[in-house]
Amino acid sequence: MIGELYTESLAGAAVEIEHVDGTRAPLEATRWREPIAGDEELLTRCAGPTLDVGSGPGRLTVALTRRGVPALGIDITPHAVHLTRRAGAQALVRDVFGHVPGSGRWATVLLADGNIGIGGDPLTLLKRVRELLRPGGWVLADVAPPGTASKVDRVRLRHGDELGEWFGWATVSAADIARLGVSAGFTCVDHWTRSGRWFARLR
Amino acid sequence: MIDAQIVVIAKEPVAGRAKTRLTPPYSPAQAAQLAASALEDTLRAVAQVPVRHRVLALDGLPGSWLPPGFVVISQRHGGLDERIAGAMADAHRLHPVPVMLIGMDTPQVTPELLTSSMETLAEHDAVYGPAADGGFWLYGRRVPDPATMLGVPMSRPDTGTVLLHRLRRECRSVGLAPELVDVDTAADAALVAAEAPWSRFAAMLEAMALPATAGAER
Ligand SMILES: C[S@@+](CC[C@H](N)C(=O)[O-])C[C@H]1O[C@@H](n2cnc3c(N)ncnc32)[C@H](O)[C@@H]1O
Repeated sequence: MIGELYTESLAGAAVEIEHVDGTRAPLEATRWREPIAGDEELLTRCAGPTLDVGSGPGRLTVALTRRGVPALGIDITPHAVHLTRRAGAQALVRDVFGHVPGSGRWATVLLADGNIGIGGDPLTLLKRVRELLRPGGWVLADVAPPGTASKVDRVRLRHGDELGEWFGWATVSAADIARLGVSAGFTCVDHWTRSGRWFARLR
Repeated sequence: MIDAQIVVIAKEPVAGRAKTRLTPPYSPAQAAQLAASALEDTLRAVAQVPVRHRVLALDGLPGSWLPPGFVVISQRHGGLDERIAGAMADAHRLHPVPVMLIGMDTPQVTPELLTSSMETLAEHDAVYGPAADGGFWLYGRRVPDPATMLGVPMSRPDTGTVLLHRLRRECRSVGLAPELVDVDTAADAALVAAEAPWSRFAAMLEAMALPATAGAER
């Protein structure tokens, strides 16, 4: 996601995501600029101050703000943060593993659109996110369908011959989220499907 | 600092998926705990080798057993030959330096043994470490060539000799690492634990002392 190429992709450039085995797929970052079927499943469950981790251009942060739910987007891509602010929501350029405001006070943390993959180590990410939550708060995440193999990979962005740095990204299947959540210290994990997406809630 | 990489190819230690040949006598949960200990011993030994890159080619997700300093990549699909060939090719794509691969079944491995095997690879085109059951526990290439590994019949008494034969045909020189016992069955587990009493694996096996084994000792 990281860097110049992701910014170009948000502007509509034909950027691809490439795996270590050489396979490639279009990133299509512009899809994150419009509402996506199933978003409602996440939005209605954001109860109280919500931190949208890897908020990208901010469609969920903006939707929450419009509904009167206090929301903050954080993203390491400055252009994505700029787009979120321009759309009228609050966002900061922050790494989820670095200093994040309101640590221990968020009612909901969103890991939407596969953002449970951030950092390529979902156990470490979930432990980190648990520190950000207030007691009784929960995480809402998009996960992969139960038949998918959970995995961690190195990927990089590519635009023609222009290459980004390799970075870690994980995929977590609905079938593995409970086990992972419990290892990270959550006590109650459930998952469900709607509009072709799979969601999980960890408390 | 050795300008090369070590790749550990491993399966996430989940009950019912990892080290299933230890069941019986061990329960699936115990087999997974033994697998986790063996994996952690292996990774900690690799972490102490002065090598440029360390890669874990993992089937599944990392857990608290993963020490810092490893890049995790996912395994390819298919047979073990395809997974090994793929892991070495993918690691080489990530870091274009020589690749030495080991599994998670030799928790007795030490940083010194891995370092000397890397030094062997620096002097040859390939390095090969035979396993006592006829397989291999270590395989390294200056420049990986998936074709060497693809089609080698796995988990057979002649697996290692088939690979070694192919290597001798394709490479100018092949260096050898010492033979090790790899953990497949409960009997192997006891041998390996006796060889490496300092390991997490030995401690875990000890903690699980089977009623049958305890009876036999008495
Ligand atoms: C799959 S996109 C998310 C799209 C976003 N949810 C939306 O609605 O537009 C992943 C996002 O995570 C961000 N990201 C990656 N690593 C991050 C990190 N360590 N901390 C915060 N954000 C990160 C990327 O910049 C990118 O915008």
